[in-house]
Amino acid sequence: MTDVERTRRIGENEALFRRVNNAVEEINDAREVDLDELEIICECGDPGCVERIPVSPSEYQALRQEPTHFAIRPGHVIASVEQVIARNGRYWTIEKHEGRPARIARELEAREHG
Amino acid sequence: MTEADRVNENPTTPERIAANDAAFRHANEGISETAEEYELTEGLLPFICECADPRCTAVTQLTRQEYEEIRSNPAWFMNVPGHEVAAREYGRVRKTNDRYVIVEKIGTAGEIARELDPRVAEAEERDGVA
Repeated sequence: MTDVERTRRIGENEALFRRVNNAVEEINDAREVDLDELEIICECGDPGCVERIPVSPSEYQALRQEPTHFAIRPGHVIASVEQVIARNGRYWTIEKHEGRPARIARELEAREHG
Repeated sequence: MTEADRVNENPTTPERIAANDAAFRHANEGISETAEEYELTEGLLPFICECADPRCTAVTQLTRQEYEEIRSNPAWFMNVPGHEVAAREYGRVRKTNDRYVIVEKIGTAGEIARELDPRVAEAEERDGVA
């Protein structure tokens, strides 16, 4: 697999996890109950990872404001395509590197929203 | 009173259980479509538990083949192991492994599951069924 293909595959894995987490949020919204916490899954580039991360609805909304940002479990960063921009005890926020990784993240986000 | 209000008033009705299952299934159809679009067809993919507990958002992993096997029957739902008890007398276990349990909805819950399955509606439209 070339670097380009690998970067794209990592981006697609993360976009799929984001799709799952958006579905979790939609389900919670549909219940019309104010929840203090969402249990999202780690949005790292490892397709086999389904570790859970507790986040508040506002934290999740803030994360989704920027298509190049993802929440991962501490340590799950892939330094060749992303960098850590915030940390807490529950999760790290990563930002895709400008260039191909960020472009792919934006493209996949746009595709999901039609 | 709307159908949704009626169902929400009684969380243990088969209607409520089937409606809840359908919501999770809708979410998983979107996940499956996204995986297909990205050609993530090899290995395990994350799916949300389709159990009858409306508060559950547990995630487990299935291959697309396993997911499609479950979706081949509109009354079958994927549950995280142990969550099948939420279906109470409205479901029976058809298959179990260490990652998921297939629960078949029975009686009224099964009929509603079929009514709410978008794939059934699409197939009927394709076949010209009124």
